[in-house]
Amino acid sequence: MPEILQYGFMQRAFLAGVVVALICPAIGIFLTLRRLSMIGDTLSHVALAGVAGGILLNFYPIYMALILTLLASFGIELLRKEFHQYAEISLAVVLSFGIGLATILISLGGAGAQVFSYLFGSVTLVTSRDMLSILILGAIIMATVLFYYRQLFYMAFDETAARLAGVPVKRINMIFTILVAVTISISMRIVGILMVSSLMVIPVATSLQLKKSFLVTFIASLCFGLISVLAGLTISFYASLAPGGTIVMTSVGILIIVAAIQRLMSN
Amino acid sequence: MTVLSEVITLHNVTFGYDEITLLRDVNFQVQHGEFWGIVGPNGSAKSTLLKLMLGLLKPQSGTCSLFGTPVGEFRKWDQIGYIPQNVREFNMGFPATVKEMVSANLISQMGAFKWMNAHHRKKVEEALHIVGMEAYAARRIGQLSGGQQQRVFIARTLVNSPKVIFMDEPLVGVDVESQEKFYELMEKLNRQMGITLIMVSHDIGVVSERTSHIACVGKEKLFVHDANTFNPEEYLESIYGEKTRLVHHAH
Repeated sequence: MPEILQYGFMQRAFLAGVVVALICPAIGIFLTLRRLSMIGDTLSHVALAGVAGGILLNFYPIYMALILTLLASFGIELLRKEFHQYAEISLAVVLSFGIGLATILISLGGAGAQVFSYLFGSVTLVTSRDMLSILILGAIIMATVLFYYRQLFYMAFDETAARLAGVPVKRINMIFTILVAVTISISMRIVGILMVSSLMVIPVATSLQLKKSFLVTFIASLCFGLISVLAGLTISFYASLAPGGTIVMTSVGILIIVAAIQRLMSN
Repeated sequence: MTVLSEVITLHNVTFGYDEITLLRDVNFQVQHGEFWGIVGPNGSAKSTLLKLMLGLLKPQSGTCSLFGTPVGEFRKWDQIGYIPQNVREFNMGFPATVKEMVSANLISQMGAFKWMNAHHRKKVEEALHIVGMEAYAARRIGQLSGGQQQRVFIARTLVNSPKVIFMDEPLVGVDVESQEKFYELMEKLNRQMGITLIMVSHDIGVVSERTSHIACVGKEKLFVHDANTFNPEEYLESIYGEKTRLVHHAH
């Protein structure tokens, strides 16, 4: 067995990493195509407040983040109705609220170092409990996305037509919002709060370069996510760098390579 | 005619935004197999009327029914085809093939896991065949011309074997040659397949030549004409004043 896999913490990091690598683009593709990728950013700022609050109250930070991001996602929906002419305002308000609350909570207690590991991701700090939460919730997210794959595809293209074709648009929007909140809360342990939304968007941006069918685009985005996370975690281990950074930089690297190849081939 | 042949019924429908009334006490009935053109000047309630019929908007008073059922309680949406006005304003880079696009509309006929079976695949092939786009099944939707996309969206509604198709300005941005093909296709759907067609258009001249009935929307009211006796020039005079004349294009 290579050295990297002899450590228990690396085994946990890889297992959790694989799950995160699959669910982030699987959710991200629908967010991106519906031009809602800012939601990922907004909810991750709220997740930071959850983490800080959890550490302060001695409550499991991932669950605390989960509760707050869920509340925030419903808050976004409510505000969206209030400001229906300026949909982005609802995101800006919730994002500001999240980062403001997080700043206060962090400055209240001495949780700085621990918060740091959630901001940038961590390899060594993934506990068995983290891994179990990520595996179970990740499996539920993936199963739900696959179950609603066709409906989500249709809604991403044309919500009105989907509704007329018998898709329960309201219910699925609600379920999808919950999936986004859960994805962010469990992914931040590995890739870090600041980079969750990157992992949702960049592998999708890469697979869009291929200009193929939706099914191929979907599968390719999961593959690009997987390569980014596996390579990023390996680099993180050998170079002692925070995994969030190495994962996102790897995914950006893949995007540039794929875009360059596509450009060369089309010439 | 029997009650069963009523496709759309509007009974005393009034609709408006805030204090502006767009439609007042509109009564309107479409029978099976008819081809209706809904015309009117820009800013009249043409699209609004269509959305009311489909239940996308709720009237302030009165009732809209589809096949005799109030639209709010109507559930057989696979019998209804709808091609919205902005259908081709989609993201041209959207990663979907023609086949994926057309298959999407079969969703209500699939089981819980939404697997495609042989019957579904055949439906998609047939629909693409009717509109003459079977050779493009694996193409990405954004690679097609405006007229081709138009036909794909018609195929998308056809997979469900709809009884009625609603179209909102289907010919905006479609070149003249494709328009001719479009009307040939409409004739096939209407005469051979017996599909009732409702089409919103601002092109009054062409619509009056192709449809069986015309509804003119304007000044809160709706005027209904038989296409054979409808005189578009008189109509234009009545709404724009005497100086307007319909320009016939010689293409």
